[in-house]
Amino acid sequence: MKTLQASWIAFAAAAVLLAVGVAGAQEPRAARTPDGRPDLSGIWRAATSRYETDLTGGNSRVVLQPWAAALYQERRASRGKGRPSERCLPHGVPAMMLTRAYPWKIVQTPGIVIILFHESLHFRQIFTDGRPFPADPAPGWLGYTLGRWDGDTLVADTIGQTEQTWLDESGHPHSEALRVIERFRRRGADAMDVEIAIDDPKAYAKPWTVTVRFERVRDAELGEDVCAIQPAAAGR
Amino acid sequence: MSGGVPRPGLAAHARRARQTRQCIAMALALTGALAPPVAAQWLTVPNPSTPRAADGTPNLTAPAPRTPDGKSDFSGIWIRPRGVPPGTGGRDGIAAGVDVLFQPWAEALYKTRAENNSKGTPSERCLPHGITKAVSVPEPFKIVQTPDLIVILLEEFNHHRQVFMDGRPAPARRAPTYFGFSRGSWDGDTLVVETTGFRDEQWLDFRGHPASEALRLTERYQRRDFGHLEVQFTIDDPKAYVHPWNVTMTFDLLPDTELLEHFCENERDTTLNLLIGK
Repeated sequence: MKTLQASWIAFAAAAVLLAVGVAGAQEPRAARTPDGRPDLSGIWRAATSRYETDLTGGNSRVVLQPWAAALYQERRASRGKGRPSERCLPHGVPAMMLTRAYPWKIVQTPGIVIILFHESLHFRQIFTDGRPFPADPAPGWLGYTLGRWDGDTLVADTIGQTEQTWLDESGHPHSEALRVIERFRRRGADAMDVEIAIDDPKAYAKPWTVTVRFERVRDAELGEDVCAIQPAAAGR
Repeated sequence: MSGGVPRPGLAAHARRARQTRQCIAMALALTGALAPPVAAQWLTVPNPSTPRAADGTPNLTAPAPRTPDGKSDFSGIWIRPRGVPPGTGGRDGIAAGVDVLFQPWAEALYKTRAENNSKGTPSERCLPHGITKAVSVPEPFKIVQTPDLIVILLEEFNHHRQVFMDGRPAPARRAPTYFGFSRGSWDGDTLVVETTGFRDEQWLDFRGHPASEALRLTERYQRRDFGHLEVQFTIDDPKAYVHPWNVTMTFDLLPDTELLEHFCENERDTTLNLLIGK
């Protein structure tokens, strides 16, 4: 009897970008929201695929703890076999932001900044309402993200992610102790930099930072990308 | 929805914890004040804009809130009322009490799906539920309303919908999707959402009411008061049904809480496992 394996089937259900094509539907957005913050709303995508593949950007000063280095080598040797996205599981933070082929959309409101993803129709919530982290943050796929403004920079602080996610496609690991700080800053009308700080002493000897440039996608709307798992065959 | 099978995986602990959510909120309210805002899993997140009775409990019959521009505000976390069968998997699915006239192929398909206990429903493979099925599950959803866009965040599977409020027409060329393309407008205090562009072979509910790519779904949202939402769905699909039919679903507000994380986690988390006895 065959052993069962969940295999991943990609449904390219929709064009990644839909042309909206109606004059006036894409008027330039005001630079600030009514509450005086820079308006990050809109559709964005990574300007390159570089960090999606290797979040360190090839930075040799990123030092993995021995177990993490061994695991990383294993993943590289197997060319990423077993990555969670094969089973339609989310990439986690920050990897889910970095797929150039799959833009995402920021919807900015006073108490939450929501990020909607074309990929797998997922979403993130960055809570800017002043709530604290839960006392007992049981690990999740995306963890818990709190946001606050530091001048014109949105600082998003994420804890509580399961160690099962990979930081990038090449397989940089992390532990449950991971803390990710993303600093979002607009650079003019159509660009935004996100400085990503990875702080995980169990996996990396010291914290490290990388800055990823995002470009605005105009005159388009998110499509719907879905991921289907292979159903289990009868008689396992 | 997994049909009530206990879920291994990350969501299981949190889901059991949610079942005590209302007890926690009640206990906190009885102390005369909400406890300091630290809570596991964000089960209790005090919201300063929640109208309250003198004892601190949310006043669910307070008037429905309005946005700064005077529209009815549907923002909040909503859930099917207690006592409603989960998944509307009763004998007639969402059509309980509704006179539905099927086209012959659709009736045959519906019967097959029902006889096979909904085997083959797309969510078995972690695919999206679609609009009516998605809000029939026991898990809540969150509406976030802004003037130009209403976002619906579905706890189950961590999926989202967008309702465009800026008057844009449906795109001329667009690949069909599970959730279609939704445009909203106002009819007084009623939010009217029109959705087209659905994939073929939709499941309108767990029971298996079919729908085709010809479906035009209209939703009419009315917020009765702070704690109660009513949505009338009109299913207009001449390929599958002889005439349009209406379904009304009611939802209760879940105050002072947050969505839990719930991703579809492989075959253990899908109804198929229930069917084959895993």
